Amino acid sequence: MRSANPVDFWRGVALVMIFINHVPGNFFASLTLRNYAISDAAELFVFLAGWSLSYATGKPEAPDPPGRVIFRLLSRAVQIYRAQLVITMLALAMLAGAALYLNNPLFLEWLNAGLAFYDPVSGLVGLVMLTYQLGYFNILPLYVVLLLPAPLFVLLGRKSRLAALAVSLGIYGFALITGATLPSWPSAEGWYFNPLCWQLLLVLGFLSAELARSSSRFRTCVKKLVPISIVVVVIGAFVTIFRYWPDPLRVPEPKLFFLFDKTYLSPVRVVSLMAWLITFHGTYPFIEGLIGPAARWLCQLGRNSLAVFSVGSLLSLAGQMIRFLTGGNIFADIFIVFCGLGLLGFTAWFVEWRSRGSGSQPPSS
Amino acid sequence: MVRRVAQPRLWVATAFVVTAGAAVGQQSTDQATQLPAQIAALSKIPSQFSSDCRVKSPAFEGRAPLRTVRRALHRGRVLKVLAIGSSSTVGIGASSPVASYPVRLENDLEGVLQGFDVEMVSRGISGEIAEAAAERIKREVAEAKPDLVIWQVGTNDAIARVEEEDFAEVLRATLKWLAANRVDVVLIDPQYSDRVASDEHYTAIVKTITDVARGERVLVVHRFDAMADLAKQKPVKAYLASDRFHLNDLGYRCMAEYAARAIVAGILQAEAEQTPKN
Repeated sequence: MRSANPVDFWRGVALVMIFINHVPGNFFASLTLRNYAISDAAELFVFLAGWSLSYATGKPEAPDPPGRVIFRLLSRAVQIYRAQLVITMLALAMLAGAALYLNNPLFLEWLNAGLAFYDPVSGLVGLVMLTYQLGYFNILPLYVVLLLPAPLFVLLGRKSRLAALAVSLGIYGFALITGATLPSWPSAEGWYFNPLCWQLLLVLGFLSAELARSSSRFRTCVKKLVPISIVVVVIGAFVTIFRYWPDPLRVPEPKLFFLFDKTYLSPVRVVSLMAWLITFHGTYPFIEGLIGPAARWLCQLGRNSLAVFSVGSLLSLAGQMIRFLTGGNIFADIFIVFCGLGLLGFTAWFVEWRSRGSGSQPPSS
Repeated sequence: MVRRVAQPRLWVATAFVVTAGAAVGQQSTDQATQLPAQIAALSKIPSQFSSDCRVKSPAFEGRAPLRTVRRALHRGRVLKVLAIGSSSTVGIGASSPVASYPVRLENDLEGVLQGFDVEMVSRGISGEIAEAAAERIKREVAEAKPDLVIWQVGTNDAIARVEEEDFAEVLRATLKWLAANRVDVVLIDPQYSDRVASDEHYTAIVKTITDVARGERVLVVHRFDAMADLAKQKPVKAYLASDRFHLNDLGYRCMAEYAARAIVAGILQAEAEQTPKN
């Protein structure tokens, strides 16, 4: 088991925020990052996934051989794909169960699930191909699709970090200019997180970790950027709180460069995330000193991110149902969030307990 | 003719322009004389709905002229419609209610707007509440540049128990933005099921949509009330045919019919505004 560290801590923070944000309308959702920053927890989560790629593929002085990198990342993609299928099926069963038990057909169309129930022949194929995703169940499909080409970026990055960044930026720019995305089927609505754009965060996360591990100049440079990052964070908070978001009909072409679009990860969202990361990158020791056990608890969540994310997705859906049944009030919100966080903590503990019990290695994140 | 937008086929368009170039002058003269007559003919469409969809309460309301739609028709332009809020299956048979809603709307529009060229783009909102969807809708509008947006709104907010005021604020702001950019709108309020008929918050969201639509002078299709009416009228077996949720199917079919009629009413209102009064 890894000891508490900043990356697991921030991943834990992202997981908690994603869980809360996925119960729309709840009071605590007004406290999460997206209310104070142009970027939100999803960006942080994907960047940290990229950061972990560096650790999953060896040490700077002893990188894993290419074959091992490829198989390691592909096996991780399979593991995440399996998790996505399981939670999607469970979510559909929860919706169907609620529809039957409460005799209310509205549940069958909740979270964009209508196709799965009313057009199962094509809906099922779409779910398995990841070209049709339930609402709020879009992050793992993105992660699977990003991990498939990830070995290429890792191996290219070892030869030349600049080349890896250039390829990634090239794909990103192409998608922003042309609006290109991966196909979605049978519904024509497109990927909620466009992988052609979001791959940039994974690559940035990977390259940042590689540099942070091997270059003291990079670390010094990041420290020097803290003051300007604080300014960017403050401006971003101001813009977000007062909703000074650009009007899509008023910005020049190519519009996606200038909007704050989440699907296409407009550049301003990347800048915002970088500013937050640089501003807070050295604050973990201070935070741990301040909230010790809570920080270690968040590290435990982050260490077991796939299990926690999967359970969190289902708990969010349960939370939405509880809000619906109770009429949505602050007591329901407190109950949902505190029980949910308790169960997320239990999930992380259980995974580690099981790993210890079976004598196998603890799961990597 | 109604056509669904997929990818622009530039070579087809170019070939068409080249070969048809000579005929354009003649065509536009013909159109100029034909179009007003075609628009006037819309008023002759029977006001009654099909027998399955007949309801006592008004199925749509609003004194909202669809000026942009009218302008597009008068200029002989292709009428661009963006349908937002329900998943659609493109190019698949209409075997299912959800999948076929945009197809049905297309068919109904085709029925009422005979002789006009309509382009339909449909975009689902994946379980998002209006607050989250608002920005995405703006981007979709900037991309598709529609004359008309048909927006099914409120079901997700009603289920997520979003505060009525918060919901109203987002809805109002988005409608103002659409109006400022001269995009016409038809709203469609949430789905009905007998389990939510007495749910105070759910019905409050339905009412909020009507109130905001009145305030912003926007057409609104009363799907919830119409479905409630149909549920009362029809013997249980009629709508519980193949499964217990069959009412949804009828809901989508009638919703498309109501929306098509609401659009015609809006076009005629815009037309009446422009007709010189004696």
